Amino acid sequence: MLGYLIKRILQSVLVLFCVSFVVFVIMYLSGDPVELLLPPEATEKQVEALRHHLGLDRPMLVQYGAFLRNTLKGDLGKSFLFNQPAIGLIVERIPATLELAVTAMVLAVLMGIPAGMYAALRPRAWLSKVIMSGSLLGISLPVFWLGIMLVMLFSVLLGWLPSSGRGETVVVAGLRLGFPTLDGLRHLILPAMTIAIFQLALIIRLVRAGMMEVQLQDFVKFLKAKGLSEKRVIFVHALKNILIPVVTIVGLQLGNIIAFAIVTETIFSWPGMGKLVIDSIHGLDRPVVLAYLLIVSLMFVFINFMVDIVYTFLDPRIRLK
Amino acid sequence: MKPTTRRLLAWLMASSFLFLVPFPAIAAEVLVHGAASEARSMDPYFHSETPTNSMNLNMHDCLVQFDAELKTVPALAESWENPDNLTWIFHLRKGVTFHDGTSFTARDVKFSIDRCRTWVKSGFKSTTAQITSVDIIDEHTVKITTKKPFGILHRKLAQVMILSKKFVEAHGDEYIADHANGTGPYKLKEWIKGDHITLVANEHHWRGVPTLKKVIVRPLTNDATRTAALLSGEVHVIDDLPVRDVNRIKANDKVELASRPSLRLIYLQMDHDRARSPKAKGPDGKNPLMDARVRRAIYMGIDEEAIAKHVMNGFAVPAGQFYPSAVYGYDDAIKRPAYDPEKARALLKEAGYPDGFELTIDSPNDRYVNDEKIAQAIAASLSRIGIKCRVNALPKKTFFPMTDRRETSFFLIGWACADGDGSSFLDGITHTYDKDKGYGRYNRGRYSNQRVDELIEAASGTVNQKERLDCMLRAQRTALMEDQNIIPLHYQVDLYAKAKNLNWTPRADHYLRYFDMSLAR
Repeated sequence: MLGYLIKRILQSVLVLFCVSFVVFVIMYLSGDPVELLLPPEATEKQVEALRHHLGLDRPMLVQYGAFLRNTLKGDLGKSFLFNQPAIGLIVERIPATLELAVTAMVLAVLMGIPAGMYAALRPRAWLSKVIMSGSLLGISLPVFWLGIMLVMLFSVLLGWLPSSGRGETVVVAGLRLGFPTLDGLRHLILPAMTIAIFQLALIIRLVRAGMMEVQLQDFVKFLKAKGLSEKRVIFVHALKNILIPVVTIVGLQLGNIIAFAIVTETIFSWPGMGKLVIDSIHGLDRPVVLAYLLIVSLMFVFINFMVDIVYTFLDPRIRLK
Repeated sequence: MKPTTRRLLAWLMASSFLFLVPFPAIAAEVLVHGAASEARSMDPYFHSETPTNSMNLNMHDCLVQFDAELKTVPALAESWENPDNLTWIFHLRKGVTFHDGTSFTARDVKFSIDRCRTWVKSGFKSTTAQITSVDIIDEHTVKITTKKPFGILHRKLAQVMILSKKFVEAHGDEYIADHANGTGPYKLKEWIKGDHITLVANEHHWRGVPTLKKVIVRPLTNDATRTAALLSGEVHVIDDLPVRDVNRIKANDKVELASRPSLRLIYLQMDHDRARSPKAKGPDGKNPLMDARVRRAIYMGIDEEAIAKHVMNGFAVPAGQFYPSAVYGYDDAIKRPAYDPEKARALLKEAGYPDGFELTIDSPNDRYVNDEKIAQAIAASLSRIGIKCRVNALPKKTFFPMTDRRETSFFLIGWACADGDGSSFLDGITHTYDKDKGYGRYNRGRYSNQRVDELIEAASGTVNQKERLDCMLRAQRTALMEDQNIIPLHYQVDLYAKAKNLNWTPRADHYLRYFDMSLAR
């Protein structure tokens, strides 16, 4: 087990190193941020002075070397656009994005697994047909359209839910969260549903396909012959067997949502990392983009690691090597 | 159905009613503003752009202030005078305190202006570039010396917010990017980046206690979300309303439009000094735009009313001069001539172009409101008077350097006199291009008239405002009415939408000052 852990950690470090280098080169080549930071009337001398102050006049590898040294010390640089530590800007916004992503995934899983199972076990019921058509819509409808439609319906027309923002938040264990308050929860519903609908559709189809396959297998017939109740056969034994692909997808998608909830965050003015990153890319704010991608890579690596651990609980034949 | 299912369903339905609680009404002393962009920093000098300046001007004051029509009024300086052309003496207001209770004195003024000029990350260096020194005469008197006579120093100082020397020196740049300590009518209570900024009234503000006790500014960058937030009653005012939402605002009886002409003039510049011009060719190959009659023909041959109505949906004000009425230097006597294609054709014939000529109009496509569509409308207008006009629209990144390299003959561009004074248009666009003296930096058509140059230099060579005005008016009349150096099109209109119970009219500079707003019950 220890050997496995060490191997995984070394792999993660290698991934982070590669990501940092690629991103650094891309940002370096994409343009000169100094022109964007000063008003158009600024003189050549002022522009040069700022460029020198930010260290942008040194050769690329020297800048990369300085970046690596600082990163090992824990300093990911100061944002050009905000004049504040890049890592502070991102960490401020992580709780908001995580809250949104986790809520969306939880909603998708809690609704998707029962729905998928029902569709597999009672394929001819009208509810199953509704579920399957619904999942087709869910996969096809674009997120930005869906989000705006939900806002139109629930905020403007019906006035039931707020259209944007996070509402009231409380600080729990150093993290600013919205769901402990009723107001925060109301603000969370629409953006979470916007993201959840696609994930829901995906999970329904996966679960249904897996369930239909498992039902035909011998061990299910054997358990029924043994006399176990249908409930136990389905919810304990069959379910465990189909969860491996589901857990894989949930892990991958969770990372995806966290990294790329930009569209939803923009529509709902949700103060997460997504909007910060888009602005930083447009403004050529290299420290923030780098810090963001390193943190996101770390998150992906961690999530995938957790997924691998969960596998061992689902299927005892899997050994971590 | 089974008992457990029934119970589950009942529980679900019951809990859903929790969410149908209607919105709590916002108290009449709290304003919520849905902003199109978020302020970048609470350090006023870090970045000069409209959203950041607008936010910071609520928490800080300057020596001089602009009212809604850009006239200068005393603020932290009660009065000022010029003992000579290079010197300004400002008499500071007494009894003013910063939000943390410390007193405002001349030391803070010197510190602020020096930081503006010398801090490497300052975005306001060019604003204070003409100042050579700031001297403290006593606790409430400051002497500012300029390199050359600078008639608009007071307008520039209306953009320099005064910081507390003790506060900035004690805490440093990073801290003040998040924390504000100014003399302004509002204090910063909380800033959750991307979510909202909360301001509370400064009970000790020198102008009096603000009516609105609390202001929450929420950045809603997505146009559809911003409009939806206003329509659902979650915010009281939004800026930058997209034109397509105008009808929806009109259809809702709780909200209304608010608009006013902005400072930005959209106009056409032409090649004045090259007989062989890249994109303007008469039948003999020479540049027709060098003849004033041709320029005047084009001016009369553009149906600007139609452009304002159909291309800009009514949200443009046809222009007849360099700047709108809010700008010092505006001439009431100048009116835009009526659209007259017959007269235009006659002028062209008189100038020797009875069959017109070939022209290409260059335009950006992502810088001004409907810029490319305006260029296309102009090409259509000109073709009706016989000028065969092509449109070449480019992204701004490519367009502006191209105009600097003079690869154009006839192009669409905009200009806003942000100081509220005509000198920026005159110095930068109307004066002959003179790199050493620093004039004509944006005079890409290379228009040149010595008489006009003399008038412009006379205006900038004195601090006597009446003399300046007289020279500026004469310069504009000569350049525009006699020489037709540019062709004005229209002033863009700033569009906002607000709740009907909000008392507020927009300012010329697109800033929102919450001190001037109030909510009726």
